[in-house]
Amino acid sequence: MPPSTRSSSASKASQKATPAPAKAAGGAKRRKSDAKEDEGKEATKPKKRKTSGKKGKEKAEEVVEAGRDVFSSLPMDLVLQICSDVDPGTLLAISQTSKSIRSTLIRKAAEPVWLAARRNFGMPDLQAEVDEPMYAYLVQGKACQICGTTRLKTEAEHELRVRACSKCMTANLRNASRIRKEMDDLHPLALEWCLSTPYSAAGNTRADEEHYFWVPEVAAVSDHLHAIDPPPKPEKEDDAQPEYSPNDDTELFREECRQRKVKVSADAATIFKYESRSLDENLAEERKKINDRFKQIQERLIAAGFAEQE
Amino acid sequence: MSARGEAEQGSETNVTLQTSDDEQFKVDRDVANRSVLIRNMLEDVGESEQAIPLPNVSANVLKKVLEWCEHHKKDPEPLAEDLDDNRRKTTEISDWDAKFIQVDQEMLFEIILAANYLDIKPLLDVGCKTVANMIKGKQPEEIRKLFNIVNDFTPEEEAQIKKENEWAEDR
Repeated sequence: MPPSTRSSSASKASQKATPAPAKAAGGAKRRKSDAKEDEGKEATKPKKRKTSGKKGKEKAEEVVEAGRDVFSSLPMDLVLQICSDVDPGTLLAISQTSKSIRSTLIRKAAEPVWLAARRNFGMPDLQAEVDEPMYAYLVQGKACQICGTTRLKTEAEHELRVRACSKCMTANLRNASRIRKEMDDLHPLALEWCLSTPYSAAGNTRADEEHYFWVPEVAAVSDHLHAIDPPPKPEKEDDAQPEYSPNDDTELFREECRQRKVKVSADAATIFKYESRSLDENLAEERKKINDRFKQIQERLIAAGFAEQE
Repeated sequence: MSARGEAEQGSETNVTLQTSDDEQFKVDRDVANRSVLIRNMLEDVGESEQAIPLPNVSANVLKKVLEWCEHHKKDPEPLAEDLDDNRRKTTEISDWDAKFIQVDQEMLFEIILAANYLDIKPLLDVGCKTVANMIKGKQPEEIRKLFNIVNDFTPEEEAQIKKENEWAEDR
């Protein structure tokens, strides 16, 4: 299972989670494919559609011809150009305005727009794989990924790659001993492989100095482990889990998880650094990187025998 | 504007443009050259007293666009590296352009479409950036209001998409 699949099913599960310990990514996956189908259908409809069937009721600030939605009827390349001039958080908001706009923006083909938007704001590249809208959401999003509220303030926990309101954060963050106690059927290897953080969302270490896990992620990883490598059952119900050696699939999965943990942790530090600096400092840093890359390419080309002007 | 007969005085430097609503504008070639579309057409057909038809631009919009071209006719050709997308972002809208682009929303979008059609990249950039600035920092509901975008999500779907931030697959 490639890391991308894992992370996406894990985060899907986390979206499905309720304040109670969540279970199973299966339902979440089914729902994802439904959503895809809907968006696929939307994408085939002509963009102009939006201009018809308008209710004059909705009044815009500067509109002349009542109710005409010029934005959605712009050619796609212009929509994309406008979108690459805003910040990632605004781009995320644009992508939530209507189905046709959403199907234009929330697809891999629109990645350059998201890249442009975040480079405008000096947001650095990350190591662990993350879809651009997710990155935008983690850094500049508003909604809680568990309950969806936009009325409560949400905080991101970059070590865990989640953003949630304080209520859902409290409900879904657990230390290891509590998870072992509360989660039925926890795979004995699951916790070791999940993201965890010693920090609270405010960046302070916790009073109990324990690592905290994101319950929906633990549930998804545990489910996956049960699927690829069911552990032997203890003979009596109250007995301790018998020792056993993981199979090859599991070893592979372990390595993926380990790498992801290292990368996400490094990314969390990168994002923290980004957030603690001003926009100008961040832009300067990004520009320097681009110039360095340009210089490298230039040097390589010159070394390959091209004249400088070329 | 108007009168094809006057072309003799400066066929070298004058160009006649004809709008979708059949108005004619006579402009300096310098001014017309701001449009890559027109420049290429002039290079292709050579000197001609024929009006150049612009079937996608109406007179009120062309008037506005020509105002911009007139003001910018002496601008140096953009260097190849300035066309690079990374640099484009960092340039700010000049004071004159900012004032020029203070028009109603309908006209703003018309100017953008015309700049796109006529291939006047700096003007297109000013227009797109202006729209971007109108949207910046707004929430979905505010953006819908601003542009009359109809919310075709059900409340359930809307709650759902706020939590879904992975790519949908291309079909």
